[in-house]
Amino acid sequence: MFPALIFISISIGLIEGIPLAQKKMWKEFTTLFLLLIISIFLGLVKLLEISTPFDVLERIFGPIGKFMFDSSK
Amino acid sequence: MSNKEKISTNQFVWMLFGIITSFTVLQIPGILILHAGRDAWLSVIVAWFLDVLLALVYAYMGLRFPGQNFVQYSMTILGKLGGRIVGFIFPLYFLMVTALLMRAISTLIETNLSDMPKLVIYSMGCITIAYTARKGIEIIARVCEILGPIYLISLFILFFMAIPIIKIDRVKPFLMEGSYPFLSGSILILSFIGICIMMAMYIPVCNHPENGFKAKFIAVTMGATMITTLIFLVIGAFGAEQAGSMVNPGASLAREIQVGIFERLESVWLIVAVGAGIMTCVNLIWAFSMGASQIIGLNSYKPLVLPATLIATVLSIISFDSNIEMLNFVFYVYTIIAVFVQTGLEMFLFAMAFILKKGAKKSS
Repeated sequence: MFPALIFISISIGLIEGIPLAQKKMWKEFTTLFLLLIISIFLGLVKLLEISTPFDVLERIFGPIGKFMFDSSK
Repeated sequence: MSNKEKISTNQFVWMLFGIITSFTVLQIPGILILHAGRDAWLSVIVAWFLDVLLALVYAYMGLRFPGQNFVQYSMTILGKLGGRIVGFIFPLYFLMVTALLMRAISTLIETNLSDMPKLVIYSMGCITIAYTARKGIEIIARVCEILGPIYLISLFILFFMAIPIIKIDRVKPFLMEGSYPFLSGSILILSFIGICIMMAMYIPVCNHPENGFKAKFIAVTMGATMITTLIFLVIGAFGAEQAGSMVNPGASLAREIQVGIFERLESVWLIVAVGAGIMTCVNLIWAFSMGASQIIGLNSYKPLVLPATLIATVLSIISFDSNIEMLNFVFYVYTIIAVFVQTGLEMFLFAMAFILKKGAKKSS
């Protein structure tokens, strides 16, 4: 999956980034590349076996949910 | 960022109806029945009531801050820094819902078309979502205006044809396990139908912003009626124990229906459900891109659409190893986050607007 992600990210970077650079919309250009870097990093998460954002959310909110929905059983 | 795009109240209703029904129908009936048993349909009625109360707050805030969505009035109320921090939670929440919904759609397709490669499912979905979201809210609204009634009619036809296989004894007796399961189940379902907090993104682009509450009331009433009926019929057809173990009881109900020589009618259900699900993803990606661009102060939301769709796709693939894991997340974690964002954050903004005396004062 990771090579496909890199290929798609580069494609999006070229398709969206070149017109933004030509129009000198640097704020949009920076945000676009920041989001693409985040998506590549999320693709790496699985390979490096580190926690995904959903794992982090589960650790924070999971105990509250379990207390709330399992207390009747 | 100036926004000259406008949608009508009718389109507003169909967009909300599509969002509520598709997200809820794809994710919730199985886990709600597992939790609340035969009384699951009662949870939807309680959740509908709570959601209508919540809609009053959202509609009021939309009128108190004319032309602003909740991301923008967060910054008006709390100032640039505090408002940006609070306001950014809404787009992030929409991105999380998109990832969950994309996973639910791919699960539905994989269950019914097991030979279809995952890559094809995700790439077709992503291209459709990104292409439509980039076209803007007017195009999205027009598509929803066409797809919404088709979805509603198809649900009516499904319900009508399922009547012969229903055994009413399976739905009775009511409240056998007390009121706690269905009351806590109502929080679960509220977190799903509460996704129509999207109304706060639509009110500023609606040609009649004062109709915000009316649109939400109609949409949520139609949506809750469809969900209640679906849950009632699923329990009547399969019994609470069997229905509670199903990933998608709606598709299973459609599979049971036969009309003359026509069998496997769940493929029709699949087409409509996937179409509505994808349109919901489009709405959510539009809302994320619009909200994020307003917080950062960009001139256009469009450059964010493609990377946002990519992030949602990657999240939907990497986050869960199995469907059980995803259902557990939806049940225990998503519910708490959703209630916090939909109710907690908005009530906080509502209270702060009064305390800090921000926004237009109501004329007598």
